[in-house]
Amino acid sequence: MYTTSRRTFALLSVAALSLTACGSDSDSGSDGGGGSDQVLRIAGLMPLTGAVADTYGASMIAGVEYVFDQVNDDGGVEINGEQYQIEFEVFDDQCAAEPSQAAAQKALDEDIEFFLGPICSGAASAVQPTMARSEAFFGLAPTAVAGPTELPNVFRTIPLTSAYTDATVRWLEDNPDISKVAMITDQNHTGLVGEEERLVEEVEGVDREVVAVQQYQTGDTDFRAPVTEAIAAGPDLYMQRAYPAEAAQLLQQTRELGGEMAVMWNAGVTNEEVRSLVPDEAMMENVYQAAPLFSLDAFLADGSELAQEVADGVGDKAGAFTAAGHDLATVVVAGLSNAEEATPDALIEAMTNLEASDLEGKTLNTYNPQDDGLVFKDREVDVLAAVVEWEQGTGWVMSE
Amino acid sequence: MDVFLQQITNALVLGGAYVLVTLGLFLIFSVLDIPNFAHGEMYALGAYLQYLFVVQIGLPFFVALVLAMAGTAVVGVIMERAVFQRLRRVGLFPILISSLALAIILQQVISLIWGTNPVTVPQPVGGVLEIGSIRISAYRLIIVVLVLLTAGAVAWLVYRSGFGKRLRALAENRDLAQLAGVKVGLIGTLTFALGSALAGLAGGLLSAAAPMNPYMGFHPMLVAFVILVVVGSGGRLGAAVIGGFTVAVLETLTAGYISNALRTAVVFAALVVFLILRPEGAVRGVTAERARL
Amino acid sequence: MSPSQLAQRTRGPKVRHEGNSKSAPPSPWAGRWRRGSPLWFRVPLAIAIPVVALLVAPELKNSSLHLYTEIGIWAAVAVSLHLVLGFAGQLSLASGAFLTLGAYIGARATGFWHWPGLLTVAVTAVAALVLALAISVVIFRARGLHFALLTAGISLVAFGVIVNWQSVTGGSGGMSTGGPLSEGGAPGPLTLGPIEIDSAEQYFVAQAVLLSALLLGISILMRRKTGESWKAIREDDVLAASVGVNVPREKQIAFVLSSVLIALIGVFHAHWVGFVSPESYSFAKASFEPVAMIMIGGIGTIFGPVIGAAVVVGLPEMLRDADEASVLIYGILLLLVVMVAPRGFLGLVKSGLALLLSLGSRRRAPADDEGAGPPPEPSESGPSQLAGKTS
Repeated sequence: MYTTSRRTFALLSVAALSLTACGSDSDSGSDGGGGSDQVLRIAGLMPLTGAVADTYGASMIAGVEYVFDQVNDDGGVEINGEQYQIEFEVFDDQCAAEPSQAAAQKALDEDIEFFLGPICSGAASAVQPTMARSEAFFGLAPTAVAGPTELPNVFRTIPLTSAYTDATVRWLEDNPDISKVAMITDQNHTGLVGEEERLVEEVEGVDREVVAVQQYQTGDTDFRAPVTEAIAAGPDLYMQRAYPAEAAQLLQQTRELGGEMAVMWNAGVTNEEVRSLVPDEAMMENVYQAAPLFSLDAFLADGSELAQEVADGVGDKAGAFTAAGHDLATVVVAGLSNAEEATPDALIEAMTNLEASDLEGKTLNTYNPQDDGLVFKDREVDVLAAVVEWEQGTGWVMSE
Repeated sequence: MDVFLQQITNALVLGGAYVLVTLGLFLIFSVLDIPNFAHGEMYALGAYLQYLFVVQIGLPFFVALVLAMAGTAVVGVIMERAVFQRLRRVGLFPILISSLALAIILQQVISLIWGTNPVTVPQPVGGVLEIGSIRISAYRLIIVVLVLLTAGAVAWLVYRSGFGKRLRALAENRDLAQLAGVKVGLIGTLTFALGSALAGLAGGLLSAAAPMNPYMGFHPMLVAFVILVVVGSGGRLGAAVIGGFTVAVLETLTAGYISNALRTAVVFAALVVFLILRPEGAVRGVTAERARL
Repeated sequence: MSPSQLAQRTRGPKVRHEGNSKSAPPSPWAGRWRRGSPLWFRVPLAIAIPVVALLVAPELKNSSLHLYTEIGIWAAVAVSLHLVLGFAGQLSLASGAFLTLGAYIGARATGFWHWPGLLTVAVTAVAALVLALAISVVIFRARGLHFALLTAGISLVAFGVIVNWQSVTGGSGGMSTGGPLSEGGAPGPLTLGPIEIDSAEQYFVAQAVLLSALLLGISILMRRKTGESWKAIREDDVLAASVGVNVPREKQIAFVLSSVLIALIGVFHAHWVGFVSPESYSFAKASFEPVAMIMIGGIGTIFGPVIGAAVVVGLPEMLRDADEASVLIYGILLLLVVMVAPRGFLGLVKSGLALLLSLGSRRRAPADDEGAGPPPEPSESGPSQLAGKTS
């Protein structure tokens, strides 16, 4: 009868569904190296799926894999006389808290002892407990969230958000005509939020007036209300501390509402993103960016040969985080080469004692020597965030 | 005062989107008793179809807009026939759950097809107009005008046309309308199509005003429900229009004068407070299950 | 005729359970099927499961422990929410608010104020109790759509509070149970008196204990008067009121109990993860998914939500490479369930078994109940007993 046949149909569908679930098998997709060399497995906690997978995830992975492929082609990394081929496997963390923990667990279960990532702040904070409980090595970039590097096994190869503030202040000192500053910050960008107070202090420290301090949520698309309020306060500089999509909207709406002042971004928006998100290049007049250089754009504009090589090697997978990925992988490889054995503890020791001269010419960013000429101080680096300016027709160019 | 006027102007386009989405939901709920949580996805779908037709295929903007509306109408009809019609007699609970499920399904389909990165549609008209001390982009002004015209057209359709008469009969009392010869199934489906198309139009228009993402439908849908609940039972279409603009103004003024971070929380807090004070909705003595036009 | 049977007849065609044979006296199995397994079976099961967990834990990989613990926690949430959904019959989307409440109190208490776990649990229970009581006084005047919207609004407002009240909640960045994140703290253990729960294995066993205790407790509760009246309310609350059930009060009790349980699970969840942030307790994850779990697993049953949790949480795991599609798939599953198998997975299993059993016997298979024909004999247990009880 009617109800019975519905039930039967339902039973059959459930059965069919469970069969399909049994069918799929995972493919670890690893790049095995040469036959007789040893293998060093490194796990990447990076997004393969989710909102930022195509931009942040893919570009980061591209930069990392470029370095590892080069190293493997050259015979692998030499640790204490033995050659190791690097096997890099990405465990999808979706840039979110719980998936990243699950991803980390999975990798740990496979006895992987070396990790790159997570790359997003929320994920990094969520994995922090796992980092604390584990002896594995973690290399972070480009998340700037405070906390993980307090742990002895976690190193970070990009500067903290304090560097963004320092860059901004340097630029202000070079531009004395900027007397009033307004700022709006994405509440979901933990790094920028944490830095907000210090930014205000530093700006006031160089005798500028902060006329508006505003916030919004990632995903907002209409900023006209706060922008109107900000314009009414008459600033010479509007700092839009936002991710690329919102930054582009903020700029558009600012110009639309008559705001002609200088605009400064903090997101590491790439040339390509500007072209696709900002409809009219004329709006980019008087727009600056104060951020560490995560992408290849500024390096290419500066004529860096290394950047050109990387760009050629990575092709159209280059994007927002390619330089960050490249440098992270390069620093870790340098550490591995100096390590006494292929264990996390040995790598930690090697990284702690890594000298700035070891990295010369190999990284895109310049790693300034800290105490005793070492790269790391308390597992953080000294890399300048740079201020870049948009040049019509070209893209981002160094402003300092 | 200038800033205040500018803020009101800022609210207009936001209000326009809310108005269209709310009108659509209002029609569907009044006529068919379906609280369609997937309505927000019609808005998102409209935006993405516009992106498909304009950016990916290359059609002229307003041609694409018509196609986007047609597309959402079709999807709406499929939902109505395949799901809601069957569940109509079973109860409210399955309808609520199934519309939530449909919302998720549509959202996921959109993200699987177009990805989750924000994308934009180029504006058909550029430039910024200055009216007194108020600034508004030309395209946004067009949106506001189109929204008002559409609202007017819908009002004409509902209150003055033959179709509208049958629609109102159906909203009033389905069984009586059927007895009186109204083809309730057909009118119902057409109304659902119209409601979905309105949301699709909103999405298509807004696609060129801001970047879109697969989750963009959630907030307008909630706002539409807030208006439905507050104005709802017994209100006329005009009230829905006023409601849409009012919420937009409320959000914008909160964002401008209190705190931008609180803009959405204020709307939901208002909903909660309202429902606590008036659980039945705006008009006492009417159950939560029907609205009248 | 019992109120629930009257409700069934006037409601019209609907997929109902099996006892309504028209031709022969209903078998005593009819009521048995509805009740599920008897108590003397469930009690030892409730003891056996944690013991098995304890024995099995050292053998499992970390990622398996992680998955099973996660399933167990969400199963507990779904089972608790089911008190309102399945028994009081209203679509409550407020679970997010209480989960958040418990999680954040838990994180703050252990990480910043260094309270002993028992104190945290007690304070959370009281806070949830007060909040739920206050809310329950007003929400049940709303019904249907308004109830759903109101509870959704509560969850959304809670989310907004968490994100904006940064000084207390850490905003979008979240908080750790080990103290300020910037100090790199390892997550704090959950200390319940002499028991300290810290490792993945310990959380796994603790979760098994909690879930079993919860399921057993609810099984016992459903067999008592409160449970019976809840079932009657679910069938039709107007009729239940007509036989003397204090409907508003029972709904309130269900809501308050459900909310307190969920808040306590929130404390546990926060400690297990070691870290709380708004995105873990978003509307979709904390308010909507438990509803999906209940529907998919089987509304109206006690174990249904557990199965639903296993499906929803386990789906991305099962799909591996295709896990982008996992949300889509469980959305489709949910839709299918609502349209074709409203009793969920467990309901299908019960129907399947009933079908098999009746095929084997001489009696006719349970026919569909169109409401026509002679009324069924009122011999089922459950609501009919209610008719005979005085309140």
